[in-house]
Amino acid sequence: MALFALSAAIVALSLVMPPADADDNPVAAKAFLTKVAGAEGTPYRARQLVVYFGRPQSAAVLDVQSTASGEFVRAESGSSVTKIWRQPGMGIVSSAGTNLEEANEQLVPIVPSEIVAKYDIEVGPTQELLGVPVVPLTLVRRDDGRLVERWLVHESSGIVYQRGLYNANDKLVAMSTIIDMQWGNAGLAERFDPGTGTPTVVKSVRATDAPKRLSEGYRLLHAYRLNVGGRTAQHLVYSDGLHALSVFRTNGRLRAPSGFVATRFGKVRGWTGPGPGTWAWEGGGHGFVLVSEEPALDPAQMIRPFPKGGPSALARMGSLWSTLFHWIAHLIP
Amino acid sequence: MTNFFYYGGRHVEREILSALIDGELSPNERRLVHEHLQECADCREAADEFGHIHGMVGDLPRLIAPEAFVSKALRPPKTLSSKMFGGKRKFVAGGLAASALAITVAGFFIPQRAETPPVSVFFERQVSLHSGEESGGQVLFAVNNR
Repeated sequence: MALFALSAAIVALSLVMPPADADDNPVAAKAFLTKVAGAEGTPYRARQLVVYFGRPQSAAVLDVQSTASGEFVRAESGSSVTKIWRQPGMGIVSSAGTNLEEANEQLVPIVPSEIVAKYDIEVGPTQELLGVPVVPLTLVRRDDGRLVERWLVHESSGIVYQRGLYNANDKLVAMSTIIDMQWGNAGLAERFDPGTGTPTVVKSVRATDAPKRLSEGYRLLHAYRLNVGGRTAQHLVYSDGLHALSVFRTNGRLRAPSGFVATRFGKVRGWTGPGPGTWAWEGGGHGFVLVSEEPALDPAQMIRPFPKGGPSALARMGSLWSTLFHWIAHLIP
Repeated sequence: MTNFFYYGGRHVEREILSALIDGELSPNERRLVHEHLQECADCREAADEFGHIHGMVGDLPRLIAPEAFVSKALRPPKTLSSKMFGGKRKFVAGGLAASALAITVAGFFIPQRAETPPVSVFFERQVSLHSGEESGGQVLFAVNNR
């Protein structure tokens, strides 16, 4: 409750800020984006508030510690704690019940040239936030003129102090804002700990059958195979140069996870999940879950290149025979 | 031994000698053959052999074939399909075919087993794609899934 009160106050503060004399100079915008892209490794420790205003509403407080040799993020939301460690050659995401460990982790890079190709970026005059100078950047999608994000970027380091995400109706749906910042290298607060649970194994794979491009300028960056408790899933990572978009493909039919609501994407039956952009559907004998960071996306457009609809009659028969043979094979000693 | 016989200047044919021994010739035919046999040593020798064989066959005991053997011998030959699906086999084959058809048709109607995807792991993967304060927006997914 206190988190929501705090977040509401921050949102109100950001809304009453005087309108800036915008400058849509693409050179200045690209320079700031380059600074943001190069901020990784800057030594600092910050507390960050993350709020989602959609349904169900949620909020989390993050303890972000960044050093030249690695980083640690601890996110607390009620009794739920998610921890992220990252150091060269290894990344771990750990929370209750799940433990994801990956060697040679590949992050989604910020690519200024791709961002300025997709968005019109307005650079506002410098203002102050928490006593430091920040520069407002407004990202408007060029093809439909839709407001997508507003940033407040620390002028000298390129650290994004505040980030607001807008939905397809130009409504603020999520915000992350730094509420406390300590510059300098204080070392990681918690040691690198892979946890005790069975880790999810992540391996890079070649996804020759995956769509290389999606709507709104998203292109395929990486493909992975996840082994989660004996089950496998394919993870396709797309990016438009700024946002990460994940498509997870599982085998067989899909049962809607908890919190997902049945909906339709055009003619396709599917489910909408929690968060800014989470959609699930079935196609070609597989289940798909798409997780997008960018809220102002049309799900029908985004899922268009993927298979849709229930399994074919042939696939259904094949599945039944496969199950039968599998069952018989188990009976034979 | 020659294979054919004349009479009337030639050897007597084998069939005629056989008919003579079996008593199937007319009196006139029998007379002509006998006249030839008196003159032709080859035909006489052949007629003696025929008579000897006839006598041996006649001395053999008469056997009566079992009825099952006869009925089997008289039955028309079986085709491949009748060999595979004949008798009780046709019921077994029919049962298997019906089962296969039932399973195939059931594939259309039996709802397939659906599984809930491990979305918590998926959200963690999404969270791990950005670094530093950029992770903040991604963490929304993780906290929303609790």
